[in-house]
Amino acid sequence: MENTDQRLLIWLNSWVGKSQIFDSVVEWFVSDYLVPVVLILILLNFWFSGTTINDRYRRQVVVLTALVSMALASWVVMINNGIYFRPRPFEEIQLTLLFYEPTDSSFPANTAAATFAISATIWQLNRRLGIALLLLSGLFGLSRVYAGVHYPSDIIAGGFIGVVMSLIVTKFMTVFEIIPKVFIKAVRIICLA
Amino acid sequence: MLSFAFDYFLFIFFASFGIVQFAASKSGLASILIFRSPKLSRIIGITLIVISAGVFFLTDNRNINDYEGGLDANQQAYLFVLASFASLVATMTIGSIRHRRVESDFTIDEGLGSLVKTGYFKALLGSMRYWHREWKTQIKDYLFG
Repeated sequence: MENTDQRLLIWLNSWVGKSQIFDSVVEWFVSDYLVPVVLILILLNFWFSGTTINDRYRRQVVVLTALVSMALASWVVMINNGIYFRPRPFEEIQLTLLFYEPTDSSFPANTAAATFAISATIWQLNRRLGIALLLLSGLFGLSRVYAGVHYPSDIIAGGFIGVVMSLIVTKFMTVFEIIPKVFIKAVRIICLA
Repeated sequence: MLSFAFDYFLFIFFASFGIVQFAASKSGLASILIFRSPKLSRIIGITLIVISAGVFFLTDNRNINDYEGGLDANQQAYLFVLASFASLVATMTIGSIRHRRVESDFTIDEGLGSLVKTGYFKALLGSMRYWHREWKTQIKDYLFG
């Protein structure tokens, strides 16, 4: 597994430098500020969308679920990082970097956990958009492997944590429906939900 | 770091402003649109998002480690909340000024729906007046009913 992981990373990273334009696009795409911001803006769009009160409520529950899933997924990654530290691939293998050198643990990828948690939650409201966002999250993860800052297994593990957290939080929000309901009704008092 | 944080704040402020305009134009929340035409507001919203992202990414290198001037995950989260909140305040203020002549049309439990006709601050005032009078008898039924 370790070998396949490294081989895949080295193969992907070997394409860096072949096209200046493609590398520039990846450098932009791999940023901490593009895909995560796009996902949160989509959540903000959901919060203010909907033409009826029930439609808005359904969307706002998804927004709350996505935010809680993202926070929990990041928390699970943080706990894991305290137990197990995996050095970044560029510390062990000669790679061409397209990103700065992060100092935290490589496994699992926190960015993948957060983006997959949001995308998987949106998938439960809107299948088409959800699939597009899951693909976007997958590409984001792949770009991080290409850029030399993660092993493929870091992304797979991060994505898995994100999706599982999304499913758990969705189930929790369905069983304890009163929690999002009270929160949204309280925010309605100040006319923001 | 300060300059980076300020650039990020501006990016999120304008992008949030744009996305709220986009969402409000689609859901008919007329009183928070900056233009009367929903279509124009939608176009302006998308343009704001694209321009703010373009300016943020094309004016400097944004792949910087947090100890070299970038932002760590917590700083990003705080700044996002702060910038989108500031953007909401700006949106609601502009909308309220535009709809200052419209009578308050507050209905309990309508929330954002009251912004179809009424400016935000009028709707908020109506809600606050209602709850100031009724919270002792109504709040439990309202939240848990």
